[in-house]
Amino acid sequence: MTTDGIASVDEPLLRVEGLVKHYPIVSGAVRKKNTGALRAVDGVSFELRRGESLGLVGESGCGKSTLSQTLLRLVEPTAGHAYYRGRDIFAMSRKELKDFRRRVQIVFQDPFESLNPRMPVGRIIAEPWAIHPGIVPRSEQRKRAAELLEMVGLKPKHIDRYPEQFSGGQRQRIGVARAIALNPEIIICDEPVSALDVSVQAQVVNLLQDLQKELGLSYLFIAHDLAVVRHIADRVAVMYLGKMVEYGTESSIFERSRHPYTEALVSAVPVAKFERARRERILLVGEVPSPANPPSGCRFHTRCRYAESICQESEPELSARGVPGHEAACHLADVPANMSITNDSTAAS
Amino acid sequence: MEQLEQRGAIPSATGTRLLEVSDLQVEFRLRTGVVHAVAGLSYSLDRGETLAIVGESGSGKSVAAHAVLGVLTSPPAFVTGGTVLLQGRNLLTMSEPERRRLRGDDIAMVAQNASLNPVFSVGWQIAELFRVHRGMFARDAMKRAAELMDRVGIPSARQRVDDYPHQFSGGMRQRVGIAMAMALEPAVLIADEPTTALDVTVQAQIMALLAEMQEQTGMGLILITHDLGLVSEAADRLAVMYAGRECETGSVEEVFRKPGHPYTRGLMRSIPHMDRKQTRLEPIGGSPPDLMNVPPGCPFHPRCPIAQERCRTDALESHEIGSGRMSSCHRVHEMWDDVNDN
Repeated sequence: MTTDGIASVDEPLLRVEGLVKHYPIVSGAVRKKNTGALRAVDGVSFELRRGESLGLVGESGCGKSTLSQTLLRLVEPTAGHAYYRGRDIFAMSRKELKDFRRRVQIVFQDPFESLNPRMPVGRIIAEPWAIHPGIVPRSEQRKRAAELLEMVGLKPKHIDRYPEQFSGGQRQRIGVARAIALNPEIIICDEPVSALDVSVQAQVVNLLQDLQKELGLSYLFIAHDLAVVRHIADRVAVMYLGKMVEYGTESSIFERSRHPYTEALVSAVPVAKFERARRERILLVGEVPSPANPPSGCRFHTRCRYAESICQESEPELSARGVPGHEAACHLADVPANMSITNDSTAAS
Repeated sequence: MEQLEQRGAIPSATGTRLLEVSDLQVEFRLRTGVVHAVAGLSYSLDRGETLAIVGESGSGKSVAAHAVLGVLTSPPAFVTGGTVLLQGRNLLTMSEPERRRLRGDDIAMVAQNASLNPVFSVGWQIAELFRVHRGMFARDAMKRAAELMDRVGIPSARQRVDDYPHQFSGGMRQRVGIAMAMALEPAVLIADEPTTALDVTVQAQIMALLAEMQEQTGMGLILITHDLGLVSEAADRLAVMYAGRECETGSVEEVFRKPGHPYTRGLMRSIPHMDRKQTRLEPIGGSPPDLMNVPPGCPFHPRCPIAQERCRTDALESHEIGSGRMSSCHRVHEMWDDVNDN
């Protein structure tokens, strides 16, 4: 690994290896004791390359948001490593960390809560420059903020307005403008459109795609709406109970998924009654087990319709399936008859 | 549960009108002005049918549902016009005690987050319906509550009747909400964004449960949602609302294949698809209007790609555009002709 900012050519922008974040479960009112651990993220590895979008999907509680918080070191990891351009994020000094956080920005889900209601938008966008001085000189900050407003499709003359004077979609554009103010390389988008009106979501999705092309950004795109993820992501990681269960290109995940959980997740997306090619609906029984006490072996075995005895006993590792770069953590993923999500698949026997 | 089966045995769905709403008007009288939250909504619902009411936030879809149930907070909300006929009886003109008897028995609602009282056990809250509406004794009512919880798929229901709402997950609380709404086997169930807060896999479970209930009792379901994917899967007909006005109504298949309003068409084009990757989405420009300040003429005209002068000035009218289909677009026929040209 190189020591300064310039990494070797094939070094991805972000490389995560075996990341673990456990939250202690404390009980007892007076003498507090750690009685267990909530395994929010439990050994996750992936790479994010320059200019690429990685979609992160999974149900609530699967660890998507904890993962993004740990990557920014907003919470400290329990174990594992994450490298930004070859440098270990978790071993960075304060100064290095500050520089790293300039390169990695975040767009939040709720544009109504993530903007300070008492600041005009010009100041909201300029605030990062106060924390990272030297990027935009003070005398030019107002001009630059106006340019950023224009870049995200808002009127520069509205620079002195307050967040409440904007609609939800416009507020999310302000959030995006603030995120790109520091010329970042990576933007973590944590459910960036799910709080927006349907007719406005597409505007923000298009804006994110335009900016990616223009600025060469990489996105870690967290969302529960699979159609939006399919649209924006080049590669997709599927998480279940803190584990990554499948990882591959967008088309391999959505068309040739090899993990029964992904299969069920994709099949749960509604399909028009009147369409001829209907997918088989796989109804998962029950709910996601508690991450404080995950099932033995494969964590999905309690809800998996293919589960065999081996699934209870040993935990499957992510390993290559089919096309290069497509990985699934399933003991049975090699059995070809099992997993076929074609448009007209009948019940697998 | 015998009653459930008996109802299912009644000769089937078609042709029995359960609910007829015509020209419903609701306004909120606020200090800052009057908001016409619902300005003319008409729809009907037959036995066994699912009608989706589609709209974004502020489109008036939930306010209209609350008006139908008679549970609007008044003031500031006032129903200023229209009729709501539930099996022939006008809900808007009857007294509150009369309406209260119908609520639960004939018409019920499931909200986005099952509104449960945190200080009573879940079983007690379900049982309350049997105690109040059926005059049952507490012990029998609790037994019925446990049966009902079992029916909506809550595991080990008999043990869980005494649990409190916070001990249930979101999906399970929603099942409790459905159990309460279904308790008295209403003829009409209004489900207001029943799955919006839930994960897709749980959404699939809840929708399957509603469909099963509907199959057994022949109830009519009004599904209020912004999710077009869900509509295409679960509904028979739909009504699209924008800024408190009705844009179009029709069968789901017809509307999806050939939308009769530029707003519906825009919505359908702007959502990404699961089964193929598009290069770019086609969004609708602008944002939904502030209801204090609804544009004159057709409220959609500032965002409409085919708006003309008359759209800015002429009041909306309903245009019949096929059997059981209505559109409020002045230019619907031109819109369709354009499509054919291309």
